[in-house]
Amino acid sequence: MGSLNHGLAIGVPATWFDGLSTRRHPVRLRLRGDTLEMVEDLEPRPDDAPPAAGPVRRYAVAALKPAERSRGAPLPLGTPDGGTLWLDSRAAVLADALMPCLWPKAPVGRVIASWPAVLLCLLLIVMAVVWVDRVGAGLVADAALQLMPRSVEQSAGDKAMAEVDKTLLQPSTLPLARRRALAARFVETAARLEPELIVRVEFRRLKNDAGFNAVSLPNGMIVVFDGLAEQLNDDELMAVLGHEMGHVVHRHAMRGAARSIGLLAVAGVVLGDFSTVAATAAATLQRFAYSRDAEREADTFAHRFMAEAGLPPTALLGVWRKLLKAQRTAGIDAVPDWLSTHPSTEERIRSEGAN
Amino acid sequence: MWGGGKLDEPSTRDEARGIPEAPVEASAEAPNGPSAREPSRLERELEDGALRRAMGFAPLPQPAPDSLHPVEFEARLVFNGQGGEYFRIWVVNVFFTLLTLGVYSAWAKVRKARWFAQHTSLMGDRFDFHGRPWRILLGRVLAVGLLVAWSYSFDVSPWLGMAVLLLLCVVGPLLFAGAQRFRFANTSWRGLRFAFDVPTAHVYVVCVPMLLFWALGTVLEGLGVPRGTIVGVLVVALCALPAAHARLKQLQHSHTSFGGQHFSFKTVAVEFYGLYLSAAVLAIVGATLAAPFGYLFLQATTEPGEPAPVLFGKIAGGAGALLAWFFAWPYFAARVQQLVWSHTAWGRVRFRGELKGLQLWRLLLGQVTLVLLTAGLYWPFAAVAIARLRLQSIVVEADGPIAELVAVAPPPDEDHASGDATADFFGLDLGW
Repeated sequence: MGSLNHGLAIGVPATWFDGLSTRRHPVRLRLRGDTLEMVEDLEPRPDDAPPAAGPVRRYAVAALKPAERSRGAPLPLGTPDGGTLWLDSRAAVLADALMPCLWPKAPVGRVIASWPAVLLCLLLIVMAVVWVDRVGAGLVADAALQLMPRSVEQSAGDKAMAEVDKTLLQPSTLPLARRRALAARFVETAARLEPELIVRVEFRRLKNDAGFNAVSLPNGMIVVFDGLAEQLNDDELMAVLGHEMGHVVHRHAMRGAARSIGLLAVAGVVLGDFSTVAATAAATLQRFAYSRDAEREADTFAHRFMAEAGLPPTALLGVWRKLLKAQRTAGIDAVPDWLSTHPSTEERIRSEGAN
Repeated sequence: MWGGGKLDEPSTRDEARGIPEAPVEASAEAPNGPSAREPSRLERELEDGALRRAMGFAPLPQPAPDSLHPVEFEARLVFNGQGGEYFRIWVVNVFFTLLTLGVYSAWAKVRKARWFAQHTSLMGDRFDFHGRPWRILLGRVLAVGLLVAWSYSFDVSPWLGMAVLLLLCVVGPLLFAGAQRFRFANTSWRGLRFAFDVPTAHVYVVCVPMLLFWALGTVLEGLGVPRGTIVGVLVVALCALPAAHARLKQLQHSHTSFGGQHFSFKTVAVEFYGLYLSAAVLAIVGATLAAPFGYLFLQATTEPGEPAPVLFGKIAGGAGALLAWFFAWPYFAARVQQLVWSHTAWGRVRFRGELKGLQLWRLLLGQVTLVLLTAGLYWPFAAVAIARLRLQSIVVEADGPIAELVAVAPPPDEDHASGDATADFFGLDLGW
């Protein structure tokens, strides 16, 4: 009957690997105070009697190395002799008894084990993403701009200008007198508004486009394309220059870059595991929203500029009307708002009317 | 590695059970019929024993299956993780990663890797992962530093760019090998760790050309080469991609070992060229199927008689490219898995990748849609479903009863050369 071994062989069944080979060792475990007693099962006898007990090993519970427990999976315990003990569902009660001794503090594991805590985390993630989007990214950008010397923006702008001058632009064909007059008028007003800021105006013709546009660069350079200057009168053109100067004053180029880096990082953490394309797409759409905010900020600055320069307050409205016409001709007036870096021209006309 | 000669000699276990001989032996007798003389050991070895197999003859005739104790010759990887469980882990990982501004991501990665390993089993026993978060964190800091240095160095000066490239060529291959080592040396099954060891010179030979290929565009741009020339050079260089992919897989699969037995990997680059070619054809088919929709989209958004706006053209083009990619990628991924696993062996154990492109495509179609509809919240469930399909399509084939397969740990002092300190330093995780 093997009754002599019977007492030792009873215990919780588990599997042990000795770390020397992949041979399975069916074992039985018993907890005796601070010691885990492990008896190896020998092969079951032909007559289905209880298995004969093999060698006995004893481990201090404190010397066992547990892994974090995940529900529904066996718990692996490293034994001090280099082996691994796997406690499956048959040994669940023993695992429950062992865990507090082995790992009294597992805060993250506890959070994972509780649905309310997980849902709270989810809620906090959503709040964090919204906060970063609305406030956090802006704060990061402000801090980054504080640290960033103007010389960085200067050289970034110089480099960008040299690049586009080489590839996309050619010299302006506007009358020199008009260019000079406009530049002098702009610089004079700008110096009164922002004495510390260095801004200047350049005129260029785009190589393969009408170019109903003007751009500002982080180094304070504002480039007006001939396509725009030919359509607008001098007052309207001054209003556009005021808008572009708003971008320079608010350092929108660098602020936008800094804001979108923070956003991209958050999107990467949340969605990057799924797909970097999805993360980048989400961050890009949000960057468009930032860009629309920046345009509105620049429009507000343009009004200050117009007042300072003594321009008629309707100058900007005239610009938007002409822009809308140009967009309709080009067929790009129907771009949905969320896909665009600028507010819709209709919205801008409406807000001018309200002013 | 089969446990020494254990297959050919009745094991102590069989004696205890009262079975006279291992099933392999029993079947070996059958074709000979009843013979008066017991064949000598050498004869038996030559007939169908270990010697015959070692000499590369055909595998043993399979024994007739015993209905009570069927002898299994192959085993399938099993993944039994539940999406709901991984969802909790994912949420908590993302939460703490955001809370710690990314530092926790290393711990998060360990937890994720451990969860996936512990829910993958072979022959009833689980895998396990033992990586230490600090090494992952260090690896990430290093990788980010190198990438930042690389991205901005050419803006400062071409010379600095070249210096960083040189640094990448020196350190990069070591880091790559270290990441492989980290991954395998920290994965275990039945109490034994996998291992990855490769001669340093070999890593350089494989990795440096790939690094140079990867950096080619940036270098040429940094040196002021005209854009047209750059595109031309890149297209020509692209033709080497399948061969590079094959070599990389070769490097990964033939220097991994388990229980002192190396995996081996035999492939010809031609097969990878075939694979890339058929994936490209599929992508073209996908783009062609997308074209009518793009045309309708442009028709619907454009006033008649006017040219299509540039932006809408770009949107249609991007969507078409995405569709083409979505059409080709599952097929490509499935075929790579099939190809790689069917060329991998571990001693006399072979593997089979059974993943079908259509199967993966159908799964991804549903899962990706759900992820997009839930703004990413469904991702943990999708990740589990994809892992299940990919893992459970891998089959381990043995030429003997697979339950008798025993791997033995290599002697501890086997290959601990002097390079161990650097090996340990570079044993960092790089993957995201």
